[in-house]
Amino acid sequence: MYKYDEYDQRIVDERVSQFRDQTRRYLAGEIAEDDFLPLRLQNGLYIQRFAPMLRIAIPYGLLNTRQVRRLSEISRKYDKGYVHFTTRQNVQLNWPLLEQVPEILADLAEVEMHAVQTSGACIRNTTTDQFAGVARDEIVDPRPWCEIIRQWSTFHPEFAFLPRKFKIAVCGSEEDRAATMVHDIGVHAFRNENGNVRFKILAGGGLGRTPMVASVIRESIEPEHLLTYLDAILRVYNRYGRRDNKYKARIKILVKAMTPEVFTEKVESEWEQIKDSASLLPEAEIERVSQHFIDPEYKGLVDQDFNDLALQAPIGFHSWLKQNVFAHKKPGYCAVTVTLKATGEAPGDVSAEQLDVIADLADQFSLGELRVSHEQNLIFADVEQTALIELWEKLSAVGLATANRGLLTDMICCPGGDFCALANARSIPLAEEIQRKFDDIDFLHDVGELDLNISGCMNACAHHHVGHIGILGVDRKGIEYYQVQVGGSASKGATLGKIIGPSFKREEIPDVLEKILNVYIEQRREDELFIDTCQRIGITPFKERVYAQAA
Amino acid sequence: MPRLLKNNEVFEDDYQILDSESEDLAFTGTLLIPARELDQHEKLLEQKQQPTGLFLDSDDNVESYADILSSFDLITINFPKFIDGRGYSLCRILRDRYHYKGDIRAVGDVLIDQIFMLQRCGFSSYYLREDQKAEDAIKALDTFSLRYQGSSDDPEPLYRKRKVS
Repeated sequence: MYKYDEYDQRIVDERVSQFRDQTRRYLAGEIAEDDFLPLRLQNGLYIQRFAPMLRIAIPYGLLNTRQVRRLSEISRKYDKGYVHFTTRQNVQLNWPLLEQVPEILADLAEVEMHAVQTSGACIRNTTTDQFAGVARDEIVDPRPWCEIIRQWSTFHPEFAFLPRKFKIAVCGSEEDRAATMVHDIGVHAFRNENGNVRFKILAGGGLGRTPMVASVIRESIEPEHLLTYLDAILRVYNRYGRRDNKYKARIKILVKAMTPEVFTEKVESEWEQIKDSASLLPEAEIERVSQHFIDPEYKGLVDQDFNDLALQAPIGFHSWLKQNVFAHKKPGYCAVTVTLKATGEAPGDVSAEQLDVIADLADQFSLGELRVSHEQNLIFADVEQTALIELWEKLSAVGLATANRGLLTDMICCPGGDFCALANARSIPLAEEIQRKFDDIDFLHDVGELDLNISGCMNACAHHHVGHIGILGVDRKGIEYYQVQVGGSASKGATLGKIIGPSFKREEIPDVLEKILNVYIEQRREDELFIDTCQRIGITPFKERVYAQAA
Repeated sequence: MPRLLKNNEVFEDDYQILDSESEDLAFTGTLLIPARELDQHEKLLEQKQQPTGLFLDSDDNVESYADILSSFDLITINFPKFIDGRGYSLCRILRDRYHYKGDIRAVGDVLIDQIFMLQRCGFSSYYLREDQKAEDAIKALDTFSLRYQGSSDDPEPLYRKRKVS
């Protein structure tokens, strides 16, 4: 992964000094509350329902074990001994003290970490595929491009005060595992007929109150122009995006209002004027950054027969092997997902003790690195297949071997009303009730791949619009209700789910899900996945079952 | 009296934004003429001896004034609120596209913690909001010693300067 040089380190160190000074002036009453707000947000610091929350950046989801151990230490020293992984591949502390944040940032900077632009109306952490560099369907490794975009977006002076937050995702594989279609900018890396890297640029996707799928802005751009093209899009958005209404301020509204064609024209004419500048990306820089992501020295191994492997293993291993192990581009290797979705634990939460174990296991089994996925899970990307049983046993011992990756109970879930000041309803207790209702792993495996997304409000942090089943918390006269939608998808052919009808009380939701699943089980054809059945039969059969009057 | 940060110094400098209605003939400080009302003030522009500047608001279309920019030694860009980031793009367009060489001044809700980025986008002077500390504003010009991107202050991104070890 990318290793800081003296330049990167100095920028992060100077950032710590800057925020230390800002915090001091704020506490001394020299910066007013309203003036401090965007400053702390651009450093990931929220004032939440009960305490501040600090969101720490994990650029495109990559961590080394030194960083994992540091997160564990920080969570013990300054917080309550656990951390929360987010849907943007970041990590949050839920209980830090504002006064101590500069110290936390200094501790992070020592291990090449920061909280830069993890919130606020600026360019946020760029995200990508959690299997980048190891996936079999990869065309272009997105990581060097994510790092190049990270550096370009860090303290970009022109775009620190955009109309609204701005999220970029990069995908370099056949299957889109980074939900690029619902980002402000989606970058699809591909190879042209000569085998050269090119990028397709999409803009105007997003969720929230007005969910939209991104439009193609440019079919192909050369690497040397990637950053100036992004500059042009951002400049058009910065100048013309709405600032009078925060619910209409995302780029998707601008692209829709202008139409994608006119928006594209504006971007192209802006780009014509800025493209021939010193910002052209030189081959040497692409090479320099790419050097950080070359393949490790893989051993010459052969693929194991997974049936044989399962026969040697204790009960429970087989379903984990089937569900949580992902094919690797190198024979004899695989990628393993540790879902942070055990029943009774808030989705995405990990204790400091578990982090330490995970770090040890990553050192022992996966070349000392770890990835975070936008599904709020952790990934060991380079595990030798012959070590799978041992790894599974060690994970089981600390409650981290739940075999539910991609299944109903591997839900994406925001912190909700238990923590977040914006939420209309709680999401964590609902997640737990669902996990308790559907605790039969065989049933879950029979239902198969299913994205369940639970957002506590329409800001859609858990991307409920693109969940195969999406649940949205709403507030009706002070009572928590939940709206259910089906048929959404975050894949390259992204679709938005449709609401099936009036909302439900929380205790009704597990039964509603059961009815939805029963419709699927009755109607599915052979190996048809839930989402495919949904798209084939539409929402009516689900609606009829769920809202049927008791006979 | 408004305070102006320019050339690493903060000093008092009175200014007035002309509006079409009232005109204070006795005023001798810097006069700012809104670009949208420029045609109403042509005569005044010829007669006035005091410093005058063009006043652009954050939603002004800077492209419309391309022809007259060079007749001003001073252009001010308004920040109605500091979180309105349009002025950053306007300033970059003035510097990079129109090669404007005069003084570009931030006016309005101008705070210490944005000065470094304003400077990077090509601003050369700043009317500080009343409550901002002069010494902290001067210090803010040097917040970072390195920058990743090229911008109007220095078009060369870090990737053209790194010494690769």
